[in-house]
Amino acid sequence: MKKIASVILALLLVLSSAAFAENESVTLHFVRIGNDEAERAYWQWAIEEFEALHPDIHIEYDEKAIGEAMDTALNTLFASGGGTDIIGHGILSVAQRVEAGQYRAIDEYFESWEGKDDLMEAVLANGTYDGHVYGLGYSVTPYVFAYRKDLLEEAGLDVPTTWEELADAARELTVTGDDGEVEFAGFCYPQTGGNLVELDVFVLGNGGYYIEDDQPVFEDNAEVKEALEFLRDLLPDVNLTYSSSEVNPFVSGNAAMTLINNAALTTMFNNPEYTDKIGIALPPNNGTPASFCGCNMLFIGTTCAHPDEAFEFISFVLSPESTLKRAEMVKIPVTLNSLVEQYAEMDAWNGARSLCVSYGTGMPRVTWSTSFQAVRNALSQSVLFGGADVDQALRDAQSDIEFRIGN
Amino acid sequence: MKKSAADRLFGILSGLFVALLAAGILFPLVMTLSVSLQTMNEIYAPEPVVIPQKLNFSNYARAMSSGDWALYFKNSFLITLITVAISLVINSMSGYVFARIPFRGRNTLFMLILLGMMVPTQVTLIPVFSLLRRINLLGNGSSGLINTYPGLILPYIAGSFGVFMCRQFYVSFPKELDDAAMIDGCSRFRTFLRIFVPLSGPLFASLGVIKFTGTWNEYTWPLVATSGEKLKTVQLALTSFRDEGEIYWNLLMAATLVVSLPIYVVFFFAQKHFVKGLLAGSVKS
Repeated sequence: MKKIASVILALLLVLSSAAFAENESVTLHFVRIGNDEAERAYWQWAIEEFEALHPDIHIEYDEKAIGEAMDTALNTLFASGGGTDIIGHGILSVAQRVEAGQYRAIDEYFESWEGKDDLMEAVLANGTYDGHVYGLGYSVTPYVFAYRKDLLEEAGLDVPTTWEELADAARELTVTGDDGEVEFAGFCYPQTGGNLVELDVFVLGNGGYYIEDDQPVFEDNAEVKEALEFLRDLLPDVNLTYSSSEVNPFVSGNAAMTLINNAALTTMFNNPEYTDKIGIALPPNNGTPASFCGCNMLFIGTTCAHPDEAFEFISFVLSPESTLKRAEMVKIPVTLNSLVEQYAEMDAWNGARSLCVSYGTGMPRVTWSTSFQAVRNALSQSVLFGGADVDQALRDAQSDIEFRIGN
Repeated sequence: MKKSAADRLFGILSGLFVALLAAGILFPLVMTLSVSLQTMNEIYAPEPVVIPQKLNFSNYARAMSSGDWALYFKNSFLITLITVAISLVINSMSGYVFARIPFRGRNTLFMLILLGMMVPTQVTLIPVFSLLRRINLLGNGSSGLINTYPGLILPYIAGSFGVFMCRQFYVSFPKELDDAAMIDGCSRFRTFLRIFVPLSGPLFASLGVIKFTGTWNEYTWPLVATSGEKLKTVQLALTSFRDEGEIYWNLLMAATLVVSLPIYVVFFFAQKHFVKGLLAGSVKS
C-alpha cells in the first residue's frame, strides 16, 4: 500500500513540476498583414531563430491578406475581447487603433532599446502618434522615380532631378499619333485609384503638405496649388492615363518615366527585355527631396499579458542581422542607417531605394486618414483630369474634409 | 403544325440572346484559363494577350507548390463535406416539421427563422466569434472553439435558407401520404425517414450543391476563425499570390481554376436533380 502511495505521490510531483514548467513558458500570438510566400518564409526563419534563442517564448504566427482582411480579423479579435499580442500592420492603422485603445505605447521599451538610434528617422516617424512611440517599422515600400535609361540616353537627356527637367524630358520622350493623342507616354500618372499618393510626392517635393498641427490645410495652400498647377499643365501633353490599381503603363512598356511602388517593378527588373533599360531614382522635386513611403510596423496589443517578451521579439526582428536577412529574402529596403551601405552593395539600384526610404513620408497618422485619402483623390481627379479651377477645388476639398471630420 | 414567321423570328432572337448570354458567362472563364497559362511579361504586355505564345502549364505546378495546398484542400474538403452532411439532416428535419406537423406558433417560428435570411453575415460575425470563444469543449483555453474544425463547421450547419427550401419541398406532398403512414402505424420520425427521405433526392441534390458551393467558397468566417496554417482553407490560400507590389495573376488564375474544380464536379453529378429540386414547391398541386 505504501509503495502504491509513494508511486502516486511521485507521479503527482512529476505532473505538478511539468505543469509548473509549462506555466513558465510564454506563448505570444502574432498576426501580421500580408501572406505571400517570400514573406512567410522570412517570418518562419525569424521565429525559428528567435525561439532557438529564447526557448521559453513561443510565437504563434498568423498572417492575413493585404487589404480589408487584416482589419476584419483584427476588429473581430478585439471586439470579442480577445485581442492579440503582437501586430504587424500599416501606417493607416496607427491613429485609429491607438484611439481605440488597441496599440500599447512602447516609449519605455524604445528608450532602453539599443537599436533606437539606428532606425531611420523617417521610418520611426511612421509609428509615433501624439508624442508616443507605438510601432516600429520593419517593412518599407517606397515610391521611386522609374525611368527608361535607353530612351533618355538616345535623346541625350540626363535623369531629371527637378520639375522643369521632368517636364522637358517628358515632352521630349512622348510620342503622339496623327490625331495628336499620346501613344507613348513621356511620363505617366494615374487618373484614378484607391490611394493616389503620386500627388503627395509632388506636394512633398514642393516643400508642402496637406496637414498642419493635425488639422487639414487645403485652402490657400500654396505648395499644393503649385504642385497641382504643374501637373495640370504637363499631363495632357505627356500622359497615358490609368488606374493605380491597374498595371502601370511604364511596366507594360508604354511610358518612359513614372512614379511607382518599388515592389511593383520586380517583374520588369526580372524581364531580360527591360533589365538593362530601366533605372530608378529619387523623384524629381521642386527644391525639397521627397517621396512617399509606405511602412508596416510591429505593435504590441494592449491586451498582451507579456509585453516584455513581445518587445524582445520585436527587437530581434529589427536587429541588423534580421533586417539584412529580410532584405535578402523579401527584397525589401533596409530600415537601419547602419545597413544602408551593405544594402547598396547587394544591388545597383538599392542606393536609390534607400534614398527614397530616408526621404519618404507615409500616410498621415490621423484618425481621419481615410477621409483624407478620399478628399485628396477627388482633388487630384477634379483638377488634373476634370478641368476644375485649382483655387475652387482646394476650397471644395477644405470644406469636404471639414464636413467629413465633423461627421 | 407550321410555325409562323413571328415564331421563327422569336426562335432566332431567343437563340441569339442565349448565345450572347453564354458568351458573356464563358468569356471570364476563358480569360481566366488564358491568364493562367501566360507569363507575367505577357500579362504586362502593351497589348492584351488572349492566346499565350506558349502554354505555361508550369504555372499550375508553381501555384500548387506555393504553400501546403494538400493541407488546404484537406481542410476545405473536410469542413465542406461535414457541413453539407449535417446541414442536410438538420435542414430536412426542420423543413419537414414546418411543412407537415401542425403546432401552435408554427408560422411565427417559421417567420423568425426566415428573418435569419435577411441578416448579413457581417452582422453576426462578432457575436458568433465571441460565442464560440466561450465554448471550451476541446480544452483550448481562452480560444474555445476558435481555430478548430468544429468552430469552422458549427456556424454553417443550420441556416435559414436550407430550412425554407426543405419546408417548400415537403409542403407540396399530398396529405394522403401522412395519413397512409399513420394508418400503417408509423411514427412521425419513421414517416419522415421511410417515406419523405427516399423522395427527397432532388431536394438533397440541389440543397447539397448550394451548401457545398457556399461552404467551399466561404472566405470571411475562416479568415477570422482560423490562425496560422493548420486550418487554412483553399479560399484563404488564394489570397497569397499578392505581395506589397504585385499580384501574380497567372498563378492566382491557375490556383483559382484548380480550386473551383470540385464545384464543377459536384454540379456535373447533381445537375439532373438540381433544377428539379429548385422548382420543387413552386407549383401547388
